Amino acid sequence: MKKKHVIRMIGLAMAITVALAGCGGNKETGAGDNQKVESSGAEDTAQEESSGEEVKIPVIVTTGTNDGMDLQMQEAFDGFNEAYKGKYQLDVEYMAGSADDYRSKLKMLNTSDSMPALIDIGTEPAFFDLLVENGRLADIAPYLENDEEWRSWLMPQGIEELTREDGTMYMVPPTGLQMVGIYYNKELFEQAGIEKFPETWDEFWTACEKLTAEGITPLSLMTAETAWCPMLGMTAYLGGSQNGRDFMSVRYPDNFDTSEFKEAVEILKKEFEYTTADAVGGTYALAANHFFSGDTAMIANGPWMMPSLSDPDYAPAGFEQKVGYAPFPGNLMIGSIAGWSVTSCHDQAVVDGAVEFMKFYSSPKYATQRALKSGQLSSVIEFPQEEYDKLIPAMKDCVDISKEVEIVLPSYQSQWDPVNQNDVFGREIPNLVTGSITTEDFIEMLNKGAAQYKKDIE
Amino acid sequence: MNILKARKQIGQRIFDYVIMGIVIIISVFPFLWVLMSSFKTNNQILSSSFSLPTSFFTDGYQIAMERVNIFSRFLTSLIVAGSSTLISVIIYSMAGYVLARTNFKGKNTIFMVLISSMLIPANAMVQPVYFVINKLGLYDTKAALILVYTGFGMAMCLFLMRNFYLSIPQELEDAAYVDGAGFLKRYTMIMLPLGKSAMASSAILTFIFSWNEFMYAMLLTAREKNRTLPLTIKYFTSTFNFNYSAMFAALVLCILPTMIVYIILQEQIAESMVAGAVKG
Repeated sequence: MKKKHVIRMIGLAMAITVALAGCGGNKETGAGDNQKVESSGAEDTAQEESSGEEVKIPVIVTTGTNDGMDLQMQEAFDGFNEAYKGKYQLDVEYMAGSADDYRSKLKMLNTSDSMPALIDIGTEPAFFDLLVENGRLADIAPYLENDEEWRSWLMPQGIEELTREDGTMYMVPPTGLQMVGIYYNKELFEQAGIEKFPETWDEFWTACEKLTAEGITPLSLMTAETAWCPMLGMTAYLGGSQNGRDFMSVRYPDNFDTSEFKEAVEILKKEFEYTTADAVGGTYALAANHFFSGDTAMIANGPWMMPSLSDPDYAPAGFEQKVGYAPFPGNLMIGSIAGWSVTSCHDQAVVDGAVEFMKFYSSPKYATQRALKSGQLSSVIEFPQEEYDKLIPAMKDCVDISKEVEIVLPSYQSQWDPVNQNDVFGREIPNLVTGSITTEDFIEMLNKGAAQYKKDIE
Repeated sequence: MNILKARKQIGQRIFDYVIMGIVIIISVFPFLWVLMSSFKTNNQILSSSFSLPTSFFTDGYQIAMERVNIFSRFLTSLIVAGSSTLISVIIYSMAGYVLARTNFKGKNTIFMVLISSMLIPANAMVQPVYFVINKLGLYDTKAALILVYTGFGMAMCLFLMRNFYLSIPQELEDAAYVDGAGFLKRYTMIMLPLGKSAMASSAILTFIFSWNEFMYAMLLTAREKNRTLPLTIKYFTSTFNFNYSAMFAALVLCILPTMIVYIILQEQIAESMVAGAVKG
């Protein structure tokens, strides 16, 4: 009897071992429904690099439901794999999740030097600085120096801004810029007797008054996460003065106690006088839905929202025809120059392949695709007229205003410290706009947040 | 007198039904809300969260099925959560028995060290866990998730199992010992059947944790075939994209099979929860 139980236990242990072995270590490439190419993981990349003739280039990208940038990126991956068949193969992991989730994964992979070959750090400059400091990124400058054709496709401002003092470059300059402005419902504007989008802040508040008088809520706002929409309005106001622009050009400012900033905080509070009741504590989805439903007349956001205007999952049929896109009052738009980085965690062949993809991705074909699908407009590649005629009105506006915009301000997300963005904004903006704390209290908290961040990185 | 008694009984019955009704509403409402929302458009969900669907909108289901291979992910979740639960229950039941019934030097220290892992936040362990998994060559495998979830379940399961075995009278084992039962026999024939309720509790806790876990599933997997259900839900809500209709449809598809299994096996599950309970 005793022997029988021992045999049973051993059998069970063996079954578990076999099950675990069955679950693990399988390196074959499967095919998921929405996966163009599947990743074989971080660890096996090194083996694959040297084993075959085709060099595998690991990439991780985030994917969403209808993000214009994601869609055109997937097309570029497919195009590259087809064009470089037998030489390079992009091994793409599509990751559903937020930009924060994506960066968390990169940080984790970074600890064991197993990052993918191509990464998009986005709006976390502190992480980028850390990678540069630790020698994790490949210098793009030598590649660009020897390739006049590639250089000619990239934004000159991008090349200038991303070239460091010592001549190195750790981010591939973009071919264009996604400039953030304000979407507005032309039908509601007309109903309130507003003929054109306000060009000054005084006109803007007058328009808000007129809309309110007609029973229309002027602004779609929210406070969740980094309070993106209201913060855009506030920083756009800040960028209206030279001092404000100087403030916005500083990365990780440590003193928010300036007269310009105080004034801008008052504007932030004023914005909430013209919004929906659920804006305080609300999310982007809630704010955007108000705009798509015609409950509000304006929402500040970037051109990546363009596909949603004609997506039946978001807006009613024909809604895209009612929407215009305008710069913030003062002819100002918001956009930060950022690009993909090539990591140095792989063999030279993989680094070369990743750089080759970035060149492929910068080519006029894909630059035009990006301009069309996600509003990343190039200053060096002419927008094709035949495509312009097919665009929805808001995208036509985007193309037009990008040529005439006077001031392009960097986004607060790329300039200010993550402590304030992740902790202070979401927690304190609701208190600020409901009057639980004063402007001075808010500024003091921002200064503390900035000091905390400095302490953290030291 | 009888009339008064009958009235009292009716009153008692009404009170019982009201309480039961409240409990049922609290338990069922979240699922009904998700089910109802899955037939509403994005706009209807965000504009009037609690209203009934105005039409039978099934696009959410179509989108959910088209964009993500939900059934494959369901299977992966089932393998991962099922395996980690099974392993946890077997290993921690044995460990709990040893820690409860045998005496050796440092027993209490070992127990304290093992359950102290409950105090370490899961986020703080990301880097070391990834490092170990990568070194073991288990990155992007189901085994990695099984191992991690089994580890995370350790503190709670061990605590439950040890305390349960401690509550069983020593005399039962002594009687078995007198009858000639050895260590293994006492465990398998006496303690294990009595410990079914604690094992069921441990299993449920481990399964729920493994089934719902998001962060490690996201960080330790790369291929579609190793991705679990919680990652699917995230697919429909990113920073600037949201499709709640599809998300709720995906949620229903995720929940429904487990609900069906529960409805079919509810008697057995309830039995396993109470079986072996020591009376008196």
